[in-house]
Amino acid sequence: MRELRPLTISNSIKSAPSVLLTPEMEKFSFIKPLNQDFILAQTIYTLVHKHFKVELLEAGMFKLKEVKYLLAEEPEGVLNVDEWLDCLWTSKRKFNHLLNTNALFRMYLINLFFPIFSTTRKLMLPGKKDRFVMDAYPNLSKNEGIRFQPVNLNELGITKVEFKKLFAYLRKDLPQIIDHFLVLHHDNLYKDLKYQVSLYPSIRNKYWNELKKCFEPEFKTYAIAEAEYYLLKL
Amino acid sequence: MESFYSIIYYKTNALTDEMVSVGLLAGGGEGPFLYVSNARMDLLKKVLHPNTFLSARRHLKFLSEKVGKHRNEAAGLLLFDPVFSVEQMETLSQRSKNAIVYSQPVTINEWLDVKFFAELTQSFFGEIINVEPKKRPVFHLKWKAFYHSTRFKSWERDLQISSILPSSLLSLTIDLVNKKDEKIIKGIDFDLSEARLNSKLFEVELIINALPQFQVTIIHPTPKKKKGKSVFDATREKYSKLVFQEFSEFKKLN
Repeated sequence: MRELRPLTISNSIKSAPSVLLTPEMEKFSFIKPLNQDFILAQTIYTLVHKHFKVELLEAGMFKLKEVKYLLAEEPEGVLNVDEWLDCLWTSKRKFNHLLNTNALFRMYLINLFFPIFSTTRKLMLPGKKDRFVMDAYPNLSKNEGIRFQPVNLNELGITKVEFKKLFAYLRKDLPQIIDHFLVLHHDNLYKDLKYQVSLYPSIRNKYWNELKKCFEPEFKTYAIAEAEYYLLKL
Repeated sequence: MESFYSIIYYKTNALTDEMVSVGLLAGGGEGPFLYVSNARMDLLKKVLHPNTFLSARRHLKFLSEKVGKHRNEAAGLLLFDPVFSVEQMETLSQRSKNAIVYSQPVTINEWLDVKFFAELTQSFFGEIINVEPKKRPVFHLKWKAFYHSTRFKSWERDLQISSILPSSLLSLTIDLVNKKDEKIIKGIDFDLSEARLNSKLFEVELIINALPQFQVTIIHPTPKKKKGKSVFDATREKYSKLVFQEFSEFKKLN
């Protein structure tokens, strides 16, 4: 996470300090005050997504009146990915305006294989071709930090007709995407995560207990079965 | 289903939280309807990065296609699966905190149809929806598509006159030729402008003179204009050898 130097801090019409402009003219918006729990969760979140080659928006931090705040990059025209966007892929021609739909599928796979954050937001950046990116930070359930809670694809929302239609265009590529994902899901990631967690001695046991459940063979088998079942139903 | 409307805003800048209302979505009644204001999109074009604008415009265009499709095709389905319902819009308005923002749906106490929607948009955007009159498809395009279809596989299409008469110096193409049966078919629209029509008729004359042994059929749509009618009658009198057939009849026969 980058420490930000503000050029200005604006009060937008709606609420108190909301947007920070850096000397490079990048816009960041204030999200919430930071605590140690969250910093570790954020580190895990970034590490996992970077490991699986998923692009993230940048997160930053800034100290305002003795309180450290989490900030997230705010690009122009960014949109939330949900089933309402399905008008963008009703035909193959429209679908071709989307740049990296396989990255979107990888994001859902991360949700499936690492169900430790309560929700994560997937965003769409506008451009000549629209691009999918992950939001800069995870949403954690209140005061709990990360918590292991297996999800199925139904809960992730990709069994809805709209998303099925989207991923049906990729039907042939999906098995390969899953294979690549599983190849990257190896011991080095386990070690990297363990090292990161060990840097925070006061909460490391609590965090590691939750995190290591993602690497249990039983859980991995469940997640793989879930992903393969999805392909069958597509 | 009750009628409602929701305004579509575009948030142009996070620094100022400014929003521009660019469209209006209304559901219920004979809906759904979507209106996107071109004037306001032009305004957005000036403040957004070109690529962002391109994407936003594409998004709204695809959305309006989706809305139009719902209105025109799935009228029966809507009862069971109302995509554009008040409930859906309410959840959407709560969720949309990004660039495209949908306002809370507001109930309309009126039957929603095209006319009322036009009034509604005018009161919101001050713009009048211009309903473009339906363009009548041009005869020569319809005709070309027809004689290029598989129905005339055995005929020769768009044939140069020189391939029938090698000695001919004319550079004329004939729509359909059947050399074996000695038949020629040509399409002429008598509502064409005078100059175009004259050149077409001149072509016909040349064909008749060059290939007297062939039977020439003229396919034409019913002339709509007064002038077209008079030229048509005059031509029919002038060339007694020609066979005239209306396009709609000719289509039925083949």
